[in-house]
Amino acid sequence: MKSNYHFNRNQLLALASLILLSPAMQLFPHAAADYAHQAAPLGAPAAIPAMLIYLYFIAQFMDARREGEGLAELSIRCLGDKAGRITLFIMGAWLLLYSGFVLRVGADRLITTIYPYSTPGFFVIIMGLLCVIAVLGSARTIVRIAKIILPPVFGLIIFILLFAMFSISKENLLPITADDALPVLKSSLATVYVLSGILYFTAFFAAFTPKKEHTFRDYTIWMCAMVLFISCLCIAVVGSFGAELTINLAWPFFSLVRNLVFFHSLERIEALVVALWIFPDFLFVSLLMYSAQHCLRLALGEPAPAYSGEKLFSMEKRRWVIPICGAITILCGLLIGPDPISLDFWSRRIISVINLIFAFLLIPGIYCYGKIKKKL
Amino acid sequence: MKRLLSLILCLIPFLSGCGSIYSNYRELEQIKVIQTMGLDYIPSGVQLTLSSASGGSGDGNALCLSGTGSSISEAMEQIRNYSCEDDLFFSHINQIIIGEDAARSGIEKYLNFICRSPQIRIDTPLYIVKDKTAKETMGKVGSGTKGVSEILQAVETNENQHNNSKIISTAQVINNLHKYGGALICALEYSEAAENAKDSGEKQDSPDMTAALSGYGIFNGTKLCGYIDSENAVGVDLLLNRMGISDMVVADDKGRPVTLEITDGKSRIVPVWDDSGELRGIDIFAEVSATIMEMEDDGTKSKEEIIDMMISKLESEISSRTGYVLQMSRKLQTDFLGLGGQIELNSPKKFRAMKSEFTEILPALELRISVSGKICHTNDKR
Repeated sequence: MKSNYHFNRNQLLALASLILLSPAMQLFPHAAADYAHQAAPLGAPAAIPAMLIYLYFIAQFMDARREGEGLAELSIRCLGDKAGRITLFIMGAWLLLYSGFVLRVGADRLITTIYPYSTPGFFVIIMGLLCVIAVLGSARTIVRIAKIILPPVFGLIIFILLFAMFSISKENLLPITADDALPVLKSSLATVYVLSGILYFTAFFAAFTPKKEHTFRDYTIWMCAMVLFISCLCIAVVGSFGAELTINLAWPFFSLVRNLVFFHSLERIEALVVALWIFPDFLFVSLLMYSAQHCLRLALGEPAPAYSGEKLFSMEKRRWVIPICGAITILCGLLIGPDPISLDFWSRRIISVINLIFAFLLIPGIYCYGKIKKKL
Repeated sequence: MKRLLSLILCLIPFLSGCGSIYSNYRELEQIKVIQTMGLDYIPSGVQLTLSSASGGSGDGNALCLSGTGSSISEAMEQIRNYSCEDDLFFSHINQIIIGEDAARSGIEKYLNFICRSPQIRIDTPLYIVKDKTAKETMGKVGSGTKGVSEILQAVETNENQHNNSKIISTAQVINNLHKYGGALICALEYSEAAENAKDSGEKQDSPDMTAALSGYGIFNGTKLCGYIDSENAVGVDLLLNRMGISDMVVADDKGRPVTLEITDGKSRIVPVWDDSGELRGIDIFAEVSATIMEMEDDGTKSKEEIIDMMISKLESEISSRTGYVLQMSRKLQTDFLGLGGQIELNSPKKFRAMKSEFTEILPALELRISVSGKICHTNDKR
């Protein structure tokens, strides 16, 4: 594999930070406010202990990899050829389903906030096709885009959050007592769900990073930064609207942006802010689709599915899997949640449950099996 | 990578704003920017009135359109279809006016509409018109270069200039209804404009009408159940700790009017709990500062005596107005002031352990008001 198609851990974590924005806006601060009400901003810090355990596990797993191995290759090494391939098929299918779901939610965000008279199909197809083009290239391209886009996107979000601080009311965030501990713990599950998901999704891309020490430390610093970001988001939105109103709004952060007036002259910038979210969506779907095709090509017996300079539309090395993956993703995006009620059902009952099973049962299961069999 | 990034960047303009290939491109001249929305109750549903700023109708006057429907969206659609106007643009609605009948019949559906709308801001100021419909107010208020939108904008600007704005947004109303079960909405009074004074010699056939703030409308649940007049509104502002600059006329010991300008005021609410942990009463400690703006001084009293007398008048007046507001809350059994929230902030554990809902025990609570007044300046002539 050419080193030109590699990247480092910092770049991978930049990608993780950006793709977090996609599920974060869907779940926060709704999920946190739903359980913890005015104590919603404490939900993310409350997730730190559980996340540290999960980070430790992921760091241990990633430290056990060899050069050029990611989560997909590690699964084959731990489970053996046959069971490994079956697992990769399952993983590939899940990643494609999830990428379709991300496309659908991204389309819903655009419809709800800017284009009320549109249908999701247009957005799903355009974004899906863009992601297929990205997946036909190198994983490094996806990660480098994240690295370039990260400063302006987070810069804008911090700017918005700073302005939102002026509209915060303390009555919306206080009082917090010991009685709130249990609701806060419940609300922390949303943070655990999102962060653990992002971590294991990016673990597929570890195959393209060189082995490096201090995995746990680097992941912990990233996790603390993301926890701080989620808390600030909850403070800004719940502090401005109150928990009850926040729960009732479809996209409370974008409603907050719609309300803001900058320097008494600039307002109604929500269309631009929402449009910025196409980057996290694009990167997230690309990551998922790339990982899916990587898993499926490995499962089909391709020994080195990583990109090594093939032409864009070359179908060598079982690259025909990529457009099929793109088609499945777009199809999933079109079929999932045709109406808001079923989208909510998919989000709460199907996607979240499967995601938790993968993050806390399947991946740890693979690791434990590998340890028992002394494959790691 | 660069090509891919360029492709995405090129796509961004198509996904944002009016110029999208996916939405209708419109010239600015074709857009009628709606700034004020009026909502009235009719037996068959909703009467919707929309008003632009002056000049919106092409002849210099404000555009005012009205339509009916079983829902707000249907009424909007009817206005769109039958108005002969260019494209109506709702994203700059800056004020929402609700007629009294609509407010009395319940504002839940209107609040839901605002919450769901992708165009209307959730922090848009909300007003109710006393004794009138929104349609009547919006149709008659203003003239020439000033329509209802400009007048309400001026009201808002004036309030903002006096430090603490009393204008209540839709988001605040929804939040208060959720949290306390009651809320306040700024009330508008519809009357003759002050400019008419110059024509005092001749009575005009149709005098210019204007709208001005006139206290608050009280909501129990989502229904209007009473008003606080503008005189007693100072009690609300004090209890909500958003006292701006306002004038108050009191009588001196000889019954002559004295104008005090309240410059600052704040209050503190302290719950009184009995031994069983139940809420027995509420102590309200208020501090108010004022200056003497107008008074007749016959020179019989020293400056100190005048200040003492004015402090006593100020304290008594503030106490009476605050007491009136609290009595209204007790009488209507509605926590429109968010007293429950303040008590919860003060003693969260005891409040959450209360056996009854706060609004249930509100009428039986002992209320004590202590006002500490201060005259900062007498504006004496030398």
